[in-house]
Amino acid sequence: MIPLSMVRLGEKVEIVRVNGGKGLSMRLSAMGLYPGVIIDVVSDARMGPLIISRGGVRFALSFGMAHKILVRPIGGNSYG
Amino acid sequence: MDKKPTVALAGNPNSGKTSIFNELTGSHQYVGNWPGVTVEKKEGKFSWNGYEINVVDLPGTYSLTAYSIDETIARDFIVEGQPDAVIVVIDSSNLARNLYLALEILELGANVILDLNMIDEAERKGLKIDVEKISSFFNVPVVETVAVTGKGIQHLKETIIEAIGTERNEFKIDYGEEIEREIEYLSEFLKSKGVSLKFPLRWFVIKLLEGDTEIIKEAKLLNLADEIEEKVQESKIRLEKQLGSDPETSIIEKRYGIIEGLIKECVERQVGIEERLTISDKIDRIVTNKYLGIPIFLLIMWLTFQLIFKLGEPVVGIIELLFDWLGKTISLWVTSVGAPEWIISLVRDGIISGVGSVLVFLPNILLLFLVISILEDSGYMARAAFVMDRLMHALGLHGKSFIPMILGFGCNVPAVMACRTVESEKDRILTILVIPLMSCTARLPIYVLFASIFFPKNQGWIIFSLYVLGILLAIIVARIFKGIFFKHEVAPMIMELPPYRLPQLKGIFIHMWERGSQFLKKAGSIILAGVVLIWILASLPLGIEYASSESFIGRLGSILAPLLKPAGFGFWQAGVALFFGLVAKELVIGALGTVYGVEEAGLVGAISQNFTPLSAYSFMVMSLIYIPCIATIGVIKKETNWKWTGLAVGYSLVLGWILAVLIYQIGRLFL
Repeated sequence: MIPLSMVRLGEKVEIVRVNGGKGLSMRLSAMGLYPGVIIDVVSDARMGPLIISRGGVRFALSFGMAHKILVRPIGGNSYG
Repeated sequence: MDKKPTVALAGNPNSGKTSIFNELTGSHQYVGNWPGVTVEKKEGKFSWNGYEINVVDLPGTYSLTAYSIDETIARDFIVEGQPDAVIVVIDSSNLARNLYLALEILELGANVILDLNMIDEAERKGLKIDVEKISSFFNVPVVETVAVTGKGIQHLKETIIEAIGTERNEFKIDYGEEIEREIEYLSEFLKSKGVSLKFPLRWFVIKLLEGDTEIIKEAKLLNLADEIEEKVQESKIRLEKQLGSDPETSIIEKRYGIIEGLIKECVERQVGIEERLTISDKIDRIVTNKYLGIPIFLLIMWLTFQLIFKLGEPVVGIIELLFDWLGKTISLWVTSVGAPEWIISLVRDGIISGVGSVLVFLPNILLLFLVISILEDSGYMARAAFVMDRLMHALGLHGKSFIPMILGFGCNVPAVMACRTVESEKDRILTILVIPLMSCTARLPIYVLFASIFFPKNQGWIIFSLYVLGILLAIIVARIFKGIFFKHEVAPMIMELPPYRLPQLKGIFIHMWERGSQFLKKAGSIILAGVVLIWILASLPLGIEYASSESFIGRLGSILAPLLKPAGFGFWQAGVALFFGLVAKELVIGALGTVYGVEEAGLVGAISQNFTPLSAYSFMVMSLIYIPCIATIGVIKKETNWKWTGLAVGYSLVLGWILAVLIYQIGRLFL
């Protein structure tokens, strides 16, 4: 398990957990980002904000936010 | 039907809800506020087959759990406003997340119509949606639309008429044995105590288990509050033991489980298409690039101001001629009917030259709003926030704060309201405090007029420099205030990046007209009143020469003049202009028009005699910063409290004066 902030461009990962309180994890859930969901990292400005994609929907996250989302890499090229 | 039926429009941000609203109601819409809060409430109506239907546009939300004021508003309206139907607008290319909101609204017991919008985009993505199955699953009517082209709108209207007055079965999600047992237990408990609620009982209990802060507050108002809290706590602990995770997560997982099951059933996906790089991705590669992002943003800003100026100029010229002609014709007419001298003066010096000098800038203002709506609707605005996040973060502001700041270029009032999208209270107040530094359209006439007189070759650059100065100051001020008042980490940001879309002409023009007509109304009311007041003060006491330094207004201005002398414009007319600019920034020009209007050379001539290029620039800087207008002060008070409002007024007065003086005094050394 690694924080999303450590994931490189083009990698595919599964959300495992959201740290940082109930409010945050519920807000992310409502946006469609909750444990079990598979996301792609579309842009990974180092130490800057990154863009992720969930089934084609793009989200911009600040580095701090990405740090709170724990993910598990599931390989680069598969699609799910 | 004895009362006019009302339907509410709900939906995620970026689901095309506003376009649907525009298509449904056309130009029959008006903007107000939700009671008690300053969030915009849009209402409209349409007629169909002899029925007249009211449409209320709810704020765009992802869910109905009260994270933000928007969600509370949407929820309360569905419960208390008792709309006859709720249309849930859904982005068909993004079903899972959009259906989540639909599910919550259904649970709330509303009479729902599902509107699968942007169905064309879903098809392009290779998704085939079985509408019948979705409809029978939820037991609600489902309509497919493409708001941009107007496709399906008629069908939607028909469906609305049919749905009104239809009774729906209660929609229930089976949350599984363990959770259901607790829902039952708590419901029975509340029922046995005879508690009366405005929300459906089952829904209320589920929200208690989800830990919804607003509902918990609501529960605290009931008698037996302590007992209820205790019971809920017991239930939660039991559930946590049984399920191995907290109940709120389990409830959300259950909802998504249902949606994902449904999607598997109803959506056919052609494989492979999803993998290709979309146009949005290609644009994003460039626009959000680490090195290119900020230069591209600046380029867009610069182009915007060039456009506002170059395109606006010819039209402004025409309107100027029109007012010249109008002024002459009307004063001739008023003279010919034998009106007393003072009426002629009121009309000519007061109303026409005062209001007219403001109204001529309508084209520039419309163009600015045009560009802002294009940037918003195309999806670029969210990218701008993304691009600026790192810079904003480094400076202690939230990335999302950037959007209200840009909106501030239109008008500071809605910009202050838009700060509500910034979730953390401290970040929100900090953003509100610096919004007045964003040059709104009311300040644009000042820049345009002075720049065209003193910097005819570089108007675009001069105006651009003032906007950039505003942004820079906002950043510096935010940094300082953060150090003094808000020593905290900036809350992390997450926001959806909508796919790029071609902005819709209709939506843009409705938006532009809304703002433009507000400006016209303002010109007809507060600016007119201000100008008349200035004229009266300039004419009294009796017997003095109009707009001379002996007039009341001359004396008022003379008090302020010494204060303004170090900034290079120490004459009473400038003092008066700035004084009345507090009421509305347009009045800076309006007042100059009124007090200079009588002079032979007219407003332009009078300004070029009294100002130098340097003092003109320091005057523009002063006008940019020195104080938020009354409407902005009012909205800041509404959104924060007197302490922050006082700070906003105080710092801007001091900062404006210091900067204007510095520019003038330092500039004098070189020029």
